[in-house]
Amino acid sequence: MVTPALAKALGAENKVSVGDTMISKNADLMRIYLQRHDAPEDALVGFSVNAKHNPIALFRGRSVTTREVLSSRYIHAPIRLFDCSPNCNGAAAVVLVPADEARVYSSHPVQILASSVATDHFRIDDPPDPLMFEAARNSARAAFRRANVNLEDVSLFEVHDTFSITACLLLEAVGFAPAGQGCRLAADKEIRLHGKIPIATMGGLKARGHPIGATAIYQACEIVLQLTGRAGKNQVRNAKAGLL
Amino acid sequence: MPVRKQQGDNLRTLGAKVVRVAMRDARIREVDGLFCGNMLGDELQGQKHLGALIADEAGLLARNRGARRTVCFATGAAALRMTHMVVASGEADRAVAVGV
Repeated sequence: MVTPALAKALGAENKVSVGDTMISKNADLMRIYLQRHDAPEDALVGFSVNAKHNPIALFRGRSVTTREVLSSRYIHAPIRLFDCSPNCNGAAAVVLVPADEARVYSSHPVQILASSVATDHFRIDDPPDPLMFEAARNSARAAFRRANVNLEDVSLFEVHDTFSITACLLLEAVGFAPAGQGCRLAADKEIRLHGKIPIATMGGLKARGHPIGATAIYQACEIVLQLTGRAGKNQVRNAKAGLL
Repeated sequence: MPVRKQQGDNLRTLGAKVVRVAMRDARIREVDGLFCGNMLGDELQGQKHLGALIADEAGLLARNRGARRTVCFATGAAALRMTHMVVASGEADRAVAVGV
């Protein structure tokens, strides 16, 4: 029921009518990625083996092994079950006040240094390069510029890992890895809690779950937990700035 | 709010619950605006107009603007961005972003 509803975000006449879904379009991206970079099919497995220990996650305390990921069934090849995030229900909220008044409301306020939006072609057939998420790249660059921070200042990245390939391409779009090297960050465990750029620190969309419209607000709450040292077993050491 | 396959509450009460928790945590009783991120409420639950409904359910005053934002998978982020903009611009002193 959810997959056909989500597919309506694609072109009704030329995509949904021929059976395309968000899963099939991401499978296209993953196939193009593996072919272009001559990568093996298990290149993205590290994105499925990541954080646990989030008490409010859908899959709490569940460990996923590399073997389990690679033996899970295809949902739409080359995407396997553990490359996908589960759709589910949830709700999250954050209160924003002017930064100079924040201490009135909280003893541990977190400041939004900048936010930015950008848009891009949506259908993967349209943009010059389907593997470059221009909107993510442009919005991240604008936000970094306004906040006067660099990539090196980011302690954690709550990435939209709706599929393994999405997390990989977003890491590349923002600049944490050159094209074709996002999968290396996962393979080298650099996306884990104590890696170079921890992502999905409370389980991400795959383990916490993907309550679609609520997902980014959960991510905002998770960044607040990290920056205020309240992320428990999933705490990133010395977390100073988070990227959403 | 724990993420689950199914929740006992409908979207309106689910959203209102977390709004109240967040406002209690910030020790405030009123906000000047509420922005709701929701993508599929009308498709799956037959419910549109969640921003205003959640504001009502949470007991916020009528003057508080409640608006639903839908931008595909960036829906929650768009609601957060809108909330950030109204506070940063001075349009609102306090605002809440809710995703459901």
